[in-house]
Amino acid sequence: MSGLRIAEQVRWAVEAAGVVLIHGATGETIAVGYPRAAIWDFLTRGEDCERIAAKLCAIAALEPAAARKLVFETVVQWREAGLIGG
Amino acid sequence: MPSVVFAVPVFDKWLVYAPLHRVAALVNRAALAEFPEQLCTALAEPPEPEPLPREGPVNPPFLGLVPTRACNLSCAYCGFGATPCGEQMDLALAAAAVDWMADYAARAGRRTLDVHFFGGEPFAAPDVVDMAVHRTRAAAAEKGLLPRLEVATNGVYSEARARFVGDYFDTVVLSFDGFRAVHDRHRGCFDQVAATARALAASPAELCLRICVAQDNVEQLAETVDWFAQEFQPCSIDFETLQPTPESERAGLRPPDPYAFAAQFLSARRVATEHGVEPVYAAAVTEQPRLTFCPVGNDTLIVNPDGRVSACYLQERDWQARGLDLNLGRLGSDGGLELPLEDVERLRRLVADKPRCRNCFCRWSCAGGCQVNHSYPGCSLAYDDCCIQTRLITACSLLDGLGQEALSGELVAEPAQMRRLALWPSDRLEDLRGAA
Repeated sequence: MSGLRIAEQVRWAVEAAGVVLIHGATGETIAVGYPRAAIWDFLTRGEDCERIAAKLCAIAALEPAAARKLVFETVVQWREAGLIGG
Repeated sequence: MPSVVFAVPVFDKWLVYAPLHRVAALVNRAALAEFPEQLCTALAEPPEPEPLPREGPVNPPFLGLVPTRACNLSCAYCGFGATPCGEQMDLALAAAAVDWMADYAARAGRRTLDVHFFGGEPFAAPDVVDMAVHRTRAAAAEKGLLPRLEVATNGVYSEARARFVGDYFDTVVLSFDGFRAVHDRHRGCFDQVAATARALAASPAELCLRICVAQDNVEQLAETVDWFAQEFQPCSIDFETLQPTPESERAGLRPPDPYAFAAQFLSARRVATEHGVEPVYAAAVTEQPRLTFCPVGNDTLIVNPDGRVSACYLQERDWQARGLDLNLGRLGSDGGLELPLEDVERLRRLVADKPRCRNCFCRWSCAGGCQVNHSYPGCSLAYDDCCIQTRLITACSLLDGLGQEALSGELVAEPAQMRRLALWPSDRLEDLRGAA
């Protein structure tokens, strides 16, 4: 998956334990811990899922397949929640 | 009578300083012979213990990571010999380093997990930094620690990278030498560095601007600080004088005259303070008596791209040229850390032996400065430029603390008086009383 972008109405704040996402339209606040907080950072910087998965292997000590699964599942979930588009 | 009291001349008076009592006073010659009651009372209190080399198992205040020695700039004064395409740290090695420090911090009952990035330019190895930053934050979250990330950087990268730095680092030390003409002569890429400084100013990170002071910008320090404070609102501004290298000589850049630097720093410091910005000349910090002002002797573990663990972030060849071995051990990608305690203890003892500092009132604040460039074994016993500027700045800081700002201003306006104080042969009170 490439060309993903953060939804316009979403704001976020980096915190010690991860990131906090704020959905501007619904007012919902979502705390994202590690390792998914790293996925959010790379998405905000426009990186594609394959590259994010490769980085996640080292960040979270995951096997490549597990890292790839986590990234793709997370992206699907965030897309369904209206946090990312593309 | 306490054992360690210093006195240095300030015009016809004497600045008395007992660092282990945290006591300073300005007295006349008569009072020097027989202290006034108030001073005697203050000095009758038990002093703090003299700083001694650390003991026991290694206890690093932070983990230093050098993701690469490569750099995307070729600063005119840089002696690192960095190129844009140098060796980068293996990701597994960086992960092992972070994991080691996280385990250590948790075992030691720390509240924070402190990781500092040096270079080269750390962001010349962006994937290593990305990985290490997130691994640190993940490990801290898992172990209930607060991540504390710091980076020393040149600021020459994209806006997106600058946003990442501002969001994920707690402290950013940005090299910025001043106005366009100076910065471009020293380092280049003024516009990009200014853009990064603006991005960092708008971020949650604590921004520290580091000025390399040379002959060509020493007279502009106060104006530079005024501009920095208004334009970038840094938390602090760090002043470091140029360390001469063959490269700086070729570029015609020279260290400032130490007397001029002391005077200009003090002017700049006043401007910074008016703006609420902390001015820092690291060798003149008197808050806590210390034996070393840098990572050497402090148990800091700095992991290099090749897995070498050293106590100093300078290049190995720099300290070898001074006859020093500042290596502590080696870290493997499997997480195995070889760290012989005898090497740690060797460096702890090294910082305690600085003959030039014995009679200097700055001995436990400056602590001899840089072990490699200034207080290396066999260095001259005479005060050098670094000693001169540090002695003057420290004396003026103590005077300012006594409410004697006018006197410190007069002192740095009088070259003969500055020389007298800076080159005073022994500051120990007993030597002065003995001579009298």
